Amino acid sequence: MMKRILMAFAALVLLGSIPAMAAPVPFNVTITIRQAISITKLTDLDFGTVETVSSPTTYTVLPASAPGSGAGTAATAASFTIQGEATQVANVSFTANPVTVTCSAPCAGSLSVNLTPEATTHTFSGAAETFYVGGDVQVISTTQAGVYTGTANLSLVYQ
Amino acid sequence: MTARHEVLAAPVRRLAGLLLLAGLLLLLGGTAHGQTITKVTDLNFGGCDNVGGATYTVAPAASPGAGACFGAMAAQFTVTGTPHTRAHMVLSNNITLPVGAQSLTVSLSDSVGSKTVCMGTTGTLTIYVGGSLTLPAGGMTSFGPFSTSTTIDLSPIGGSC
Repeated sequence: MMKRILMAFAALVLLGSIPAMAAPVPFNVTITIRQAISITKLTDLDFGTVETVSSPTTYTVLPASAPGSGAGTAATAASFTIQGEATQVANVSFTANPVTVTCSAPCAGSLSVNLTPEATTHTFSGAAETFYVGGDVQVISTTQAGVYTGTANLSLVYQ
Repeated sequence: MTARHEVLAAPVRRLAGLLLLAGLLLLLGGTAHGQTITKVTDLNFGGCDNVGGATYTVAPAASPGAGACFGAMAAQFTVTGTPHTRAHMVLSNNITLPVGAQSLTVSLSDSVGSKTVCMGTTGTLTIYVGGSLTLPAGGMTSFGPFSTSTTIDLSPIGGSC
């Protein structure tokens, strides 16, 4: 009798010393595929022609199809055709803002242009849409006459 | 003789009961030699642009890394067990993630690296599982969230660490 009890005890101890095998733990792997955002430039931002001034003057191009009254003659906002996944929201940004525009020879100097997107976030409709970028630039009495140009990059990234 | 046998039988029965109880407790307590793994978060690649040929990676770490899409997050697990014990981690190298009529191969990576988990001095550690996938050259034809499921497991191994 005692022998059997001890054997049973030994068996239980042996079983107890075997490491337990944990059950596999499931987990999910998920990806959300989003329609790639396309951006195509239609027009550049152009402040038009402004006159040199005796006191600092800020010229503004509205981020819209009509540049507004604060811009120079023949001004246009930059415009882009954008398309993304319907109902998805993207953040709008520029690689640099403000951007520096420099005067081509024979003039010298530069101006700082603040870019103004029509919105800092955009909710896509799923169809092609037009997105405008305006801006403002200050001209001072020492600003030389000439053509000032620079480059900016528009970026839209899903939130 | 009969009376003597009965006198001895009672202590023997008590002893037998105690031994069996002790054995049972040891059996139940035997899990302390193993490790318990608990999921904290799933692996999520986040929202990825449908760009043909693009590779998206989630680092097996608390931070998903620069190559990850917006909202990406590595799977996180908490392992508890007896300090200094070891276990072999069982995790598939690759899994298939169905995406509509297409599928993506996800290469899984983990923060352990060697597949041998050491419980260290505290008996608690965190494991991260990340992954990498490449969209086909022509991109995907379906949009939206897609999921699949896989498992992670720990198989105790002998020795100490």
